[in-house]
Amino acid sequence: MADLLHVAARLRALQNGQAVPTVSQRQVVIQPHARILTLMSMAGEDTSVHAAAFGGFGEPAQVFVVADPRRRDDQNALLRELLPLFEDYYAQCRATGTFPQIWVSSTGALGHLDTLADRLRFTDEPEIRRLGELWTYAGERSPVAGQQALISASGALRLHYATGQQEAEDEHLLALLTWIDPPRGRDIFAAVATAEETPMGVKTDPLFDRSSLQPAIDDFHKAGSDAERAFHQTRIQHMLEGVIRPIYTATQRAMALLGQPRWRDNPALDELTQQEGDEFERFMQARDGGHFLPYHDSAKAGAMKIAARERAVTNVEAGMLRHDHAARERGVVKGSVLRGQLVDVREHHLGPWLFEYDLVLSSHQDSLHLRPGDELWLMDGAKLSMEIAEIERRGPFTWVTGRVGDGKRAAKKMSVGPTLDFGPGAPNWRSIGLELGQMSIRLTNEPWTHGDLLPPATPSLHPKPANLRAAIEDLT
Amino acid sequence: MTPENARLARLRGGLAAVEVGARGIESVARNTACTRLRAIVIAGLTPSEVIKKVFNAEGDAMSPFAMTLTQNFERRLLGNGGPSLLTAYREKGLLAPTEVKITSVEDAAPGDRPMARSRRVSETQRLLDLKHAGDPRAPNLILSPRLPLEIVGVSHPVKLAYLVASDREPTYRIGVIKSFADRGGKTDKTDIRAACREAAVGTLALRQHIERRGGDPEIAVDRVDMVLRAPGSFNPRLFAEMRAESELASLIRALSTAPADLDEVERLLPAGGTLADPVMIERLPNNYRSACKEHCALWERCRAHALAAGQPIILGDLAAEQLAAAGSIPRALDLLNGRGRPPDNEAEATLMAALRDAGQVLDRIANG
Repeated sequence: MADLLHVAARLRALQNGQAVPTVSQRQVVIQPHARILTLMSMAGEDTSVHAAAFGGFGEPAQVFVVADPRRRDDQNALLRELLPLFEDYYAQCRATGTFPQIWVSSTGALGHLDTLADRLRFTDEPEIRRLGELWTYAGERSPVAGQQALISASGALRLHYATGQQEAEDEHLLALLTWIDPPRGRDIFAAVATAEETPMGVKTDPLFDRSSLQPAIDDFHKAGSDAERAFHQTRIQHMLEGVIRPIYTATQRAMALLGQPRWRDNPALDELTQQEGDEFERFMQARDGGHFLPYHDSAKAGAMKIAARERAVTNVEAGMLRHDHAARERGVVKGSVLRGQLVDVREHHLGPWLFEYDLVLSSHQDSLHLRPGDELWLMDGAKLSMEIAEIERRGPFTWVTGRVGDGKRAAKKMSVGPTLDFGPGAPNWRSIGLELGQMSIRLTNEPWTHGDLLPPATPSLHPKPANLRAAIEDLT
Repeated sequence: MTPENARLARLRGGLAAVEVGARGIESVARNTACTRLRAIVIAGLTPSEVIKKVFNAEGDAMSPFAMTLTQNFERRLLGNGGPSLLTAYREKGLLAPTEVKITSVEDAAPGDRPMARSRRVSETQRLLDLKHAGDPRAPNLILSPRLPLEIVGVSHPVKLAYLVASDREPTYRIGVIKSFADRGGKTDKTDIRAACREAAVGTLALRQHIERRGGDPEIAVDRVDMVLRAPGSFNPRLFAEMRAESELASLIRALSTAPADLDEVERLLPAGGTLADPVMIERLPNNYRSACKEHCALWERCRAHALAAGQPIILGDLAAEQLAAAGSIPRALDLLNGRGRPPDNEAEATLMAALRDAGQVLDRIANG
């Protein structure tokens, strides 16, 4: 059923000839000072920047173009021009206690920036290295759930809309925008096909390369004088501006769409904003401290990053289930949220001033992921938890009984009748630091299971059973 | 011209055969159920060639920048007798300091004429026979070899990057060279898989050769070598003996699926029909998938066909799976909207109930 939600949304979009919203609240933080960065590389040269467009939300782009990025000096000159833009932006964000946010057009562009960050921070030139380090913040954050530092416009739009085409086809930003805001009186598929002809990725069209760009670059190299070279440089600049500006504009359009008041505020994003700010400050402090950013993580650092990422996934999910209406409804459909009518509140008097409370809920959810012993938290109102004690199927209903842990006073005041939602506990971003600290202590000494040395034998003081195998089997 | 080749020429209807190569054969394995792609490849054409010659449109083009880079990287590894490639193997300890025998098949029979290509095939086979006979003169590295791969009784010559074997190994492993950068865990897995499958095409050809000579084809193991580029440079990064059993298995499965012989391919077309006729191409059943765009120049036509036919794949693989009971988009829309005829069977009734529930949830979600 959960998967069918996406399918039903796409069916509706296809029927309407227009994308349909799948949420009512905003799913990403939009920083008012966010910067849009559009980079174009030369085909095959994944670590090159042939052209760059940079600007703030609602601002025109500053465009930088190099005639041939394979010429190292020219390439570095372009990157040096970009450095102060990012240095200033990061400094402003730090001064105001917030985090920088970079918007790119698509997941491909996001990957390109990450590739560049990995490459540039290992160059010999300090300025280029610095740019690589600054971009690494965005690149390293990009795979982490709930991150708000590097946003792909197509990805952000996909969190809000479903189109009547394949998910992979939504990666083309202009095609996606066409679905969202289709031209009037025109067949949507014809309009999308036209949109798809405009490059929206990080590379120019191969046919354009063959017919226009390569001859221009060849002319640039063959130029006999500086004036002629400058002429061809300008020619290449115009050509690439014609490619990069539409991508920049489309990214601006995506931001404007997501900034519309139709998207209600999402309190789950407040925590993510705070978390991103903390991450940014930590990253910059590490740069100030001269800490090296390795290409490959050590096993220990890798383990810690994986643990942090897993925790981030859990926290983001928990936060969204609490505050995002759509996520909650999807959680109910998937069965990760128990939605039921409170049918009984049982008080158990265990002794003087000692009470226990059981809540009994009746749910008609088709799918529920519950086991006795699970701890669920009330998702709205009082802070109340219960441990699942019993699950019973009665016809089309599931009766769930839970023993209240936290919030007994609230439970005592509850009366039967209302429909309640129970799910995972509130996100706890602070606990990541504690967990990582604990992991660090554990990883200081290599466990014997991972080393060559066996620990000394510690014989049991109990008598050895006559039949060891039988004794072990008895344990089960 | 062999009888098979004559039949193929007839199928192509005057279009000149092109070398589909390892990449073309590999693409068949990416969409096993696509009869259109298989028939085109078997006939000695490529989707790109069909787009150009049959539909008179622009086929898949590679950027000249990417092409130059690829050629330069291959030249760097395979040129001048392949010292750079040999060094990569020696640094990894896969070839001993004494194992330095290298032969370039391209150098032995240079040129692009059919005679030269044919000589390269026989030279490769001669070198393989040397190895299989235990001759100590057998090279450790065979650069730019060319081997025939038989599909549905038709021989397709396949140019490979290189073959490698130490003196003690009974036969060669296939090596593939790719100019995309090695980014560790961030390297695109789809690219790696495609490269492995491309090499697996060579392994199949090698196995066929061994079998033709009466040997045990299984001595050609399901391991392949891959060379990528270090980021920002032309330094090779060697990934040796990569497991490719699943790629090999998918390839074998793909090549054994119908149409598995020329008769079946011919039966797909009406009498007198040829692949030079756009109507005939459109008539061939296709199996449009979301990944088709990555490897087949005909994807836009197949997408248009799927759209016109109301196939659920238009909405993606998940939709195709979920809406299987409805069979088509119009029928799925009827079930979603509660219109049209009542459900034909239990599967449709279940889908209808689920779709309507999903629609209600969607209303609640979107309207908040």
